[in-house]
Formats: sequence, C-alpha cells, structure tokens
Amino acid sequence: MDDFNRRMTTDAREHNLIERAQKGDHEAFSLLARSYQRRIYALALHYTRDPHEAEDLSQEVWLKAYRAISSYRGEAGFYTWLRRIMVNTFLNHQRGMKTMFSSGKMAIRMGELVSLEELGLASAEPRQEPEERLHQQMMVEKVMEGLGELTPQQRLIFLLKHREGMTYDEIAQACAVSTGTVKKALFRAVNRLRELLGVKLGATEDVSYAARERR
Amino acid sequence: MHDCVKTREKLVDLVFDEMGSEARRRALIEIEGCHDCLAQYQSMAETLRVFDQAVETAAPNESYWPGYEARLRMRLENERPSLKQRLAGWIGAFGSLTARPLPLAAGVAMILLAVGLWWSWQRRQVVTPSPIAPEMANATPAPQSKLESHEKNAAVMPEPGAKSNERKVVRANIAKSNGGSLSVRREERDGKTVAIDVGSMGYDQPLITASLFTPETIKHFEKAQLMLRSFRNASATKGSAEIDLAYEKQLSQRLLYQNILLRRDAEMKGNLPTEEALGDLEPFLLDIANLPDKPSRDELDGIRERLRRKELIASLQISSAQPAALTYQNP
Repeated sequence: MDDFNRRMTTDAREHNLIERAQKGDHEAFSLLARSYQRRIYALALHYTRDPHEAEDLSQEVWLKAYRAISSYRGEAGFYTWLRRIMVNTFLNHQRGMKTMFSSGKMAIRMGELVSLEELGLASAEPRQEPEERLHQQMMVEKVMEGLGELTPQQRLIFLLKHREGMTYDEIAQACAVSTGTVKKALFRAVNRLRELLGVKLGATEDVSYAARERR
Repeated sequence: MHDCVKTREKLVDLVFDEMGSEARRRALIEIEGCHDCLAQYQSMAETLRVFDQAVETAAPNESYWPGYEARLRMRLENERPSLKQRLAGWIGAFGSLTARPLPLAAGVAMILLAVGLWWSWQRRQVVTPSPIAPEMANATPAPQSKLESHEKNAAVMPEPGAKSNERKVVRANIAKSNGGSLSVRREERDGKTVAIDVGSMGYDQPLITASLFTPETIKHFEKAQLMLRSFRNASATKGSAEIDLAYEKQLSQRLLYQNILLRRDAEMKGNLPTEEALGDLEPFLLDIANLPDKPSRDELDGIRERLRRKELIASLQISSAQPAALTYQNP
C-alpha cells in the first residue's frame, strides 16, 4: 500500500511538473529532467562513448523535449514519449556524426579507446583494490571498444533492447527497420562483445532450466 | 529431433527475454539436451552479465550531476518558450480569472457584452447604403477578361531620357486613391516606357522556383544514384564467390563526405526538402562505406532490401531530373 501511495504521489508530482512545463516554466522542466537525466545520459554515453558528446546529446534530447512538451497529451507515459524523442535525436546524431577517413576504411571518431579518467568516470567504490580497479577499467574499455565496433544503428538497437527493455516490435518501429534486422543486430552485438570480453563458450554459472527451477 | 541451427536462432529471443513462459520453458529444456547449444546460450547470458557489471562501474560520480543540471538549466533559460507554451500560459491566466468570485466574472462578462454590442452597431453604420450608392454602382465598369484588362492597363508613357532599346523592368507601387496599392511594372520598349498594371493579372506573385535543389545537389544525387545502382546490381565475378565492391565503397566514402557538407549547408539555409532527401541517402552511404572488405551475403542483402523498400534509387532519379534552382530562398 505504501508503494502504491508513493507511486501515486510521484505520478501526481510529475503530472504537475509537466503542466507547469507546458506553460513555459523551465524550472519545472528542470525538475522533471532530474528524474530521468541519469538514464538518458548513460544511454548517450554508451552510444557515443565520449562524455562530452554524451552530455551534448543528452541535453539536446531535453531541449527537444522542452520545445515539444506542449504537444504531450499524456496518452503514453512521459518516459515513453521522451524515449521517442531520444531515439530520433540519437538517429539524427548518427547521420551528422563526425567521421574521418583512414586508409580507405571509414573510422568513427569514437573508435578510439577511452580510459575511465578520460570518460570523467570514477569507480563507484573508491576503496577498491588497485588491481580490481584496473581490471574494471579494462572491462569498461573492452565494452566501449565492443560497442564501437558495431554500427551506430546496431549499437542503438542493442542499448534499447538490453538497457531499456524495449520489445523487438517497439525497437523496429522506433528505428524504422524490420524485426529481423533488430534480431540480427542483437545477435551480432552479443557475439562481438563476447569475443572482446573474452567470455568462453560455456564458461559461466549454471543457467540451465533445471537449475533455475531448483532456485 | 534437435536441430542446432534452429535452436540457435532462438537464443537471441531467449537471452533477451522475448519468449512467452511456455516457449521459454520448452526452449530451455531443448538447450539442456545439447552441449554446444547450452554452451552458446551460457556464454551469451554471461556476456550480458559482464556488460552490465562494466556499465554499472562506468557510472559518473555524484559530483558530476550538479554541474550537468546547471548547464541544462542555462540552456533551457536561453530557450524561448514556444508559441504553444505561451498560449497555454495565457489561457492559464484567463482560467485563474474565472476562478475569482462571481461578481468579478460577471463584471468581465458585462464588459465583453458591451464591447460586442458596440462593435456590431458600428458595423451596421458602415454597411448602411448611402444615397449615392446606386449611381456608384452604375458607374462601376463591367468585369473584363484578363487579356482585355491587360491591354487596357498598358499605357504608353513618354520617357525623354531613355534611348536604349534594352528591356528594363522596374517595379513600382502606385498608391490608389482609396489607400490600396496597385502594382505596376514598367518596361522600356523602343525608348518608351510602358507601364503595365500587373496587380490585377495574378502573376505578380513572388517567383517560386521549380526546384529546391541546387545544381550541385542534383549532380550529387546523380552520382549517388549511379553508385547505388552499381551496388544493387553487383554480383560475384566468374571463378570467385566474393563480390568485389571496392569501387562502390571508395565512391561511397567520397559521396558521404559530400553529402554531409551539402546537408549541413541545406540545414543552415533552412532548406528542409533538400535536408530530408540528403538525410535519407546518408545512412546508405555510411553503410556501404563501412562494409568490410569481404562483405557477407547477409550484409549486402540487408542494405539492398532497405534500398528496395525505401525506393531510394527511384526518388533520387526523380530529384536529379528536376530543373535546378540557382539559389534556394526560404519562402
């Protein structure tokens, strides 16, 4: 019941902020943005793999949302509406992305390895052992490298599926592709990440159905 | 009978939770029966787990967010509220008026009613015909055909200083006696200036160019169209299973660079149709330019299928067949 009440209060607060923002109150909009900014930023960071670009891109999403908020009618949830803007902004960014040419092969600027320090990111646990920190840093670098080897569209599809939990159909609609393309992109993304992260075939915990049933 | 190929097609659905509970149960039981499929499934699940772990580690510090919020606020402050937002604000203000006590609302309604009555009374005064109206009506000429009107409106005016036989066009607005303006085009013909009333002829509109694409853009569309056709029709050479797309890739890279420049230029000039057309083309150029040296059949088919569905080659052909506009002016 407490959870229910808390959710109702949050929804009412959000509704109130949306109404105020629709009248041009940017303070209300800033408060609204606070609820989702980390989620949008994280996606932008994994998409662009550059903290500066991620900030620019995520803030562009907010600016577009602010300009369009008067058209929000509340038929879908606010985040669903916002996500539509986000996907379009990301796809447009993909088109205008900085590109360079090297030895006949197109490389994307984000194709460079970036360290944690460069990303402006610090370990979530400051008291970690240096070895562990180094290991985690290497993992992040490998993940970023893996994401960089996907096309922007494949990367976006993977993030929308794995991080946002969107369905194949929702992604296909948002990115204007077929569900077959979505599945292919996901398969390629997981396989590429597996190669780069050095995950060996079968080297994992017991994820079998019987084991799950036992749990 | 277990089929590894078919089972592996289901792995993506399984790891990304796109199966119903019953289908999932059956798939898991089947996977358990095959060592290779189970290993594949486990490694995919493990990859996602490691990815999540790395992503959680890569979260920015708490100290990052106040700065982020401040920068966002600043950008929002610089953003002018849209017309819709301003309208919503005014309507909101009006709504708060009606929430006031009844006498105030009644007073506002009375004022509005009085203004309405006064305005309609004023209109009646204007519409009432004057005693000379019938005479005016008789004096009004009957409507004429456009051609006739054109001939009559062309009046020859002497211009002592003019000697050249070159045709000069001067536009001038002559104020009508009733306060309106009449558009007149003066043409110098054989040393005489001819004033032609073009206001009533209906063609003194701002000239709208037949095409929104510049010659450079049209040339770019032509090149892109040829490259895409070549890409679409490329097939494996005799004696080799691979398709040689080195030329298309190289050309695509050059075209992509040009496309970005043209699109940005169109964006700056507010030329939306050009921007959209170039924007549609760009993902294809990027995909072809980024193809590996030995692209798989699936990769090529994917791009070709998208090309076919978008009917891009046909639309490029139409765009490049249009007459060029020298410069685009935002109407």
